[in-house]
Amino acid sequence: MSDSPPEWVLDSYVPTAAADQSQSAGIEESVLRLFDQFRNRLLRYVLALGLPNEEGEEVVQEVFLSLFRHLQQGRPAHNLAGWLFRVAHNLGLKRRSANQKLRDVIGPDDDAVAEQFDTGPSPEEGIIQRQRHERLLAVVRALPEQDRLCLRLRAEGLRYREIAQTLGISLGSVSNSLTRSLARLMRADER
Amino acid sequence: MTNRDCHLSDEVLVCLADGELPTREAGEARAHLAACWDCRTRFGDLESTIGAFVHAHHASLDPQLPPADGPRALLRARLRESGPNPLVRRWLAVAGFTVTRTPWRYAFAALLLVLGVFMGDRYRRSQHGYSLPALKARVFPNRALTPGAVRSVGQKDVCAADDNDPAWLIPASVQQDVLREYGITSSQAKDYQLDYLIPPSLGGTADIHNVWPEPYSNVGWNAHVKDDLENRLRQLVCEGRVSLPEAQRDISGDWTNAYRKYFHTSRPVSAL
Repeated sequence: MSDSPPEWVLDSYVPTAAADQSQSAGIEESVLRLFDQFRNRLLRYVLALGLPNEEGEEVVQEVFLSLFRHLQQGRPAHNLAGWLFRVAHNLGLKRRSANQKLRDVIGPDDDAVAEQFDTGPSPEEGIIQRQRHERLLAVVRALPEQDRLCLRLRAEGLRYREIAQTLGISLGSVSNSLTRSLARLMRADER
Repeated sequence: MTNRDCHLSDEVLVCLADGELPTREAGEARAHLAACWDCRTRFGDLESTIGAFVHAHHASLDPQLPPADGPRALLRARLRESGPNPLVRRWLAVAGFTVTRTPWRYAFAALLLVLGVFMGDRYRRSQHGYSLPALKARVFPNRALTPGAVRSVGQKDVCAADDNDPAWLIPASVQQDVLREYGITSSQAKDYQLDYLIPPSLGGTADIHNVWPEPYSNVGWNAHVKDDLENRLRQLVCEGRVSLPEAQRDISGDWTNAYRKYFHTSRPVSAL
């Protein structure tokens, strides 16, 4: 599965209300191709929102079902990367909010936040790399949520314009947020 | 663009690294970097931190990502289930009929759908010459002869096993016994595939009570569909989302119901 930034969108293929059978099959194939391209990136993003695996996977399914309906209705097919992350963001936050309400009733889940690391090529290098990763992720966890989300979305390959659309903030806010967060990360990285 | 010491600001460096500066400003910033060691060092540190963060981001989340095959098959099934029937839509288009929000038009479209389903079912029956009980007899094994049989294994054993283990082949002696039990002659045997009710990948054994003859002529619910279900169930078991006993129970009962349950679709994906 490719994690490269999205270069192709469905600009050349905009279904209309009069779409026939082959076009319908074409939409399905396009959605599956986008699934191959974006599934890991979207899943990482919704997992980083704090959703458990199973719910993250379900959110990603909902995102692509929404995309299917979106394209079937002949709606704009440009900048689909931004569209996918925006829908994933909204559905993920909705699901997280529902979980939070549930946790408020039944108590916290100790297993909810568990980060795993793959160690490096040699034990020593692995330990140094892991310590560096842990240090950086600790800084990220301490960031305000908007800064954290900007950083995660940028790490998934979104451009500033797409991040701004996903989070509903201005382009300047994205730029300021990333500058602020990266300055903190660099300070932690120098230690 | 530059701060009081005539160096590039943090924001310009970040935007330059991200390719977000307008062309003219990016050119100026690059010219500055070429001349200023201080800014170039800061730019290098920034790139290094970004790289380290991306690695940390992936290392912390990628081990949690399950393989995409199962979710992809599930999405495909859901897409086909949720998409409109193109044939019906074409009928409507041919009749010059556009479904609008007018209630009587909805009613007319529903009537067309009911008629279409009824006529389609009549057509299929006339083509294949089978009734619902006959269909069930083809899709499901005889419970008295094939109740299913399992090895005493756990989830770890099943998930560690090799998919292509030659030990999972059905021995010839068991194949002959099963055909004899089902009253299938040697000349008819070529029309059937001998299939496990509970596959070895879910702990089933090559026992006569776990093998049955499945007709190749099955329409819709056939061996390929059951293979898809077996793969999905194994994936769910190995991810800890379904217990092994539950998976064995579901597939040895009405496996078509299990397919509907785990693929969220009312019809086999390959038949849609």
